[in-house]
Amino acid sequence: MASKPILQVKNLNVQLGGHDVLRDINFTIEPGDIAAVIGPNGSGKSTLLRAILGLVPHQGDITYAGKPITPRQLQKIGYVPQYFEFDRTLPIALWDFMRLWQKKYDRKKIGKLLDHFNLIPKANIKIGNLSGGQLQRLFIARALLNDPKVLLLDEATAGVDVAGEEDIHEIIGHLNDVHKLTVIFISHEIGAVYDYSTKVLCLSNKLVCFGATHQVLNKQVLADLFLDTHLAAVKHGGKKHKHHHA
Amino acid sequence: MAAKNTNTIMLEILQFPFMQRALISGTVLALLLAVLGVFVVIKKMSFYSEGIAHASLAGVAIGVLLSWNPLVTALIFTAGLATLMWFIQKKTTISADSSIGILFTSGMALGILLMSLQRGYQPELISFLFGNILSITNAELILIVVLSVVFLIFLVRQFKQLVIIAFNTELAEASGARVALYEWLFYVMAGVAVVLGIKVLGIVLVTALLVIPVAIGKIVADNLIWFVIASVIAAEVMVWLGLLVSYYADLPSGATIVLVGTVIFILSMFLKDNAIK
Repeated sequence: MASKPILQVKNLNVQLGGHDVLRDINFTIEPGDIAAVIGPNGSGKSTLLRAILGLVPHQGDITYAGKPITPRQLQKIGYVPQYFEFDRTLPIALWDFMRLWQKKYDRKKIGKLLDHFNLIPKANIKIGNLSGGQLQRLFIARALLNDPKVLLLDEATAGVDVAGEEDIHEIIGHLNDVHKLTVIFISHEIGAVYDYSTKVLCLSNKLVCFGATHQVLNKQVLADLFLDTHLAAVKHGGKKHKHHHA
Repeated sequence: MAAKNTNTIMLEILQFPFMQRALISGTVLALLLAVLGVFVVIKKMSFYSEGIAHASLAGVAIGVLLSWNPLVTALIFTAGLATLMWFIQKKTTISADSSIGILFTSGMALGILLMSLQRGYQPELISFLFGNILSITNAELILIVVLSVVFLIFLVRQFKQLVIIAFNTELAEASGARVALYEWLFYVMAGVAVVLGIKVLGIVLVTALLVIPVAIGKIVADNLIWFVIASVIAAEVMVWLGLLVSYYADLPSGATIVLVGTVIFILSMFLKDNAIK
């Protein structure tokens, strides 16, 4: 028997600056899924996550456990955005930073999460003194603070070295195994998508493919998704590019 | 001997009711502006506070022209302007820099225009431009203390929410924080607090009490709590030492307070090892 969807997106449309960023998107995510979102630059991947979180105006229905997403339910959705700028001279230590996002201070939990992500030795230093990879690990630890049921990762392993990336995938895999954490992650690493995801969503401003990763994702789909968009961009821009990402 | 001299000086100063009012209002405002300054700096809103201070001149001018208390009219005008500023930020694509630049130079221009309608020497205008903490009346003192206490209670109770919103609006919103409401409250509070601070430092210098203590706190502190505490201590030292020096050297109080802050800032730069690259 199929389980009740934890996240359901129906007829989602997003327009930004007069352009259709997402058109008629429909999909469901079951509890415990690890879904990868792939697509070329500008295909609406980040916008999809931001729409789920209510950060961009949109049309259509997005439900969490069968109900529209309210601020209260947002606390059950952890989010790691792409790297963002902040004042690196601010005297905010790692421990402070974690504590800020916790509803009720739970020292043990902060310690455990920082330990999971190998950040305990840095607990009392300023977040501005962390490397890009350490900062990403901190942001993932932060997103897990309030026991989310769903974790949204927007290229969360960008800037993290290979060993760190494996650690992050291992921890998320463990949380998925043990706590049935549902994960939706955006990635440009097709290898990681094959290795870690159970479902895949291919975006090119509309949903090009959706389903079990190993059934849906093949060379033709990837070529269509990345090469066609690339060729369209070349044609549109009138420039010749000899390489592509897929 | 030195201690006795300091005690004597303090007792002498405290004999005068205007000095008592100056010290109480200065202490309370230093506390409020330092705590608010922490959020202003995290949110990179120094230009906002500078701008709203200048724009409040229109509110002062309205009070002078209507023969109402200029502090009260400036507070009401600024709360309205802060709301308008927040609305523009939320509902339009105009950049913060542009909207602050346009709204606040317009406010200042309106103030100058209204002031020109009033003939003769205007001591109140000079007092608002450059500050005169010694001219604070009992009614103004009560207003300053009541508003400051209300704001401080709010800031302490909502400290975590306000820091995460100041740190990253999107992340805060994604975690379920009521960003729009808190941002509006913060815009209004910062505007009103700046206007209260104008009585101490004047329109031209008031931002110093928001920015200098927090800049000192940023240098000496390694974590958030010490950041707030160090900023408050720096602000209180600025006000008390500034008032003492201005009293005995017969110097303008606002300018002396700011320059005391500048000296502490420079000293803290040299005393903290990693402050200079």
